[in-house]
Amino acid sequence: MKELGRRLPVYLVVDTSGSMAGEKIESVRQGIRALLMDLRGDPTAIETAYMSVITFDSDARQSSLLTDLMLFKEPVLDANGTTALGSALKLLIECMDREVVKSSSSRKGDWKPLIFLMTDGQPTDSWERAAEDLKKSRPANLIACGIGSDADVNLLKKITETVVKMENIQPDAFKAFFKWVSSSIKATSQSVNTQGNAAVNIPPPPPVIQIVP
Amino acid sequence: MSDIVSGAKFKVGFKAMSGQGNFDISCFVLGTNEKILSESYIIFYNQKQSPCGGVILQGPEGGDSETVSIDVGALSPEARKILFAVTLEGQGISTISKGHMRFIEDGQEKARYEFIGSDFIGETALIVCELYLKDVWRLNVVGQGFVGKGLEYLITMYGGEVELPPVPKGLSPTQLITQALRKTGLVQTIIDGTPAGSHLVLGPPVTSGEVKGPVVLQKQLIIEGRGATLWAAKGPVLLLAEDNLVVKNLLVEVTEDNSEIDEACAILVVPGKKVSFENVEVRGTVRGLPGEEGTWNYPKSFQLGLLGCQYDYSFTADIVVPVSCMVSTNVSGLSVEPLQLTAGQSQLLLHVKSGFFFNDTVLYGRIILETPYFRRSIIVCGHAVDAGLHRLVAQKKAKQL
Repeated sequence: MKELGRRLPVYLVVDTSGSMAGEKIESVRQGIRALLMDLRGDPTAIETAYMSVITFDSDARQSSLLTDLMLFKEPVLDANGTTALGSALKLLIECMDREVVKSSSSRKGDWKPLIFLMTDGQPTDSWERAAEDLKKSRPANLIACGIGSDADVNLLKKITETVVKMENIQPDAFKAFFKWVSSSIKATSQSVNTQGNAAVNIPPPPPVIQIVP
Repeated sequence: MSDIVSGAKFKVGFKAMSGQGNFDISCFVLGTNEKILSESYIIFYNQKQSPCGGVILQGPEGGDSETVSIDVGALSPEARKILFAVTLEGQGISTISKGHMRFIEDGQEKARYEFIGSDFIGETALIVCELYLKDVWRLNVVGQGFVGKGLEYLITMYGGEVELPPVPKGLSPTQLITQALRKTGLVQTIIDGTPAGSHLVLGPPVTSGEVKGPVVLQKQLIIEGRGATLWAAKGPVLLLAEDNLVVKNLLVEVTEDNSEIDEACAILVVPGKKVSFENVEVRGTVRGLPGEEGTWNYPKSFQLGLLGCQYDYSFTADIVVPVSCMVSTNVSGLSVEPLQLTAGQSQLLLHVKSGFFFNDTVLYGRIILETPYFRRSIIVCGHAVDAGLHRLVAQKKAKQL
């Protein structure tokens, strides 16, 4: 039954470079765990949202394939190496090409994917072309989050219009961030089912998250 | 020659503008039979001086990219001709947009000849000019191109054996250090402020976990990396120019794929300097350490995808290592063969055994390639599930990665 429904693919693209080591990566780990718990308690999200995690450091990899929430397996997050943002964006485009079902005359495809990108530093590879591809073709609704003071939000603006900033990097701020991700996924799962693709429903972020204009 | 230069000692300067790569100047000293006197009379990047001292490659000077110093008085008495050739590594001469050759005596330019690469489309070597002895030394501007294999072709043509030793080309250590010192950042300032003989800690809280290089070490220090990564998009990233340097617990990484030899270099040790490394991981090449030099070619990660717990899988990958190294993995349930790689191209075999994993197990870890000094790693990830429960398990049981 479920396979016939239109899915809302959700990709979490997570920076696991050396600068994320310690408390930050632990907060992300707990955040993803809490996000799953939360979404698994929401019948509409279980029906609609599919999740994948892409991690990037010196290279990028799809640590969790796009699967439904019940089968989803948390990735191993291990922070070291550099920040290959370009490789991550390229891989994200590849994964969406492969995993997201396009609409055809005989079949309604998946809903437009929802992407949350988190990074705390400067990219160390060339990322410009992949960013331009993403911004131009807009294959997904992408929310980029700059973590801490080293994150370059102006650069993130070149990937997507929707950029938020988390200055505070205490565990509570991460908790609030993932809570917001969860609400966004739940709200979007709800609204696509009633209003279709145009209805991305991102609630206003909590006070620890600032929208970058 | 006497109408160009008055004495026996002069210099020939070359410059070529090329969109891609470096060009090389080689000189061939020929005898009466139009063959080289011996192989030591091929003067090129790996052999910069003729035995008689009459022809010496001097490197960049006075705005020229390469200068050849000539002393016809010192030349072997058997010498009848000196050929000057331009070759471009791996590409045709026509990628040279323009260039010149000029004669300099006592610091003064005496004559200049221009050439443009589009005149030589398809050619890989160009004999620019020859000096020949007919009563006196005379100059003949040749401009003859060859469709062949560059320097190797010319060597064979003039009676030499092609055996270009795999000595690294590119800039000299001194040039690389000068170049790196112009690009250093915050960390170099910290290093410069640290007295010789002391410990220097990188990584939090002193620096970020990702430290942007290059870093040049010109005094005796003990660098404690605490697992931080020292990186640069183009190498060399870490340059060691002093004896008794110690580098510990550091990852040194060239982040972009560079084919150019200097840019692909992660660690450069000035030849002869005694340095030691403990728990240092590298991505990129190493220069200046015997037994560590050469080009590596291996993937950054292996993504095994979704695996059915009840099946055996074997994955193969072609990799190239320049020196022999030990292979191991910290991913349980994954075995890797061979455990020792010899220099050259090899096939790595990854084997996942059926029945090892429970449903829903994440495979994550590294394959480690170890040489006497360094470690290199390939990240492995995958997800084992019960194929009976999971409709997505569809991949082949044997696969080339």
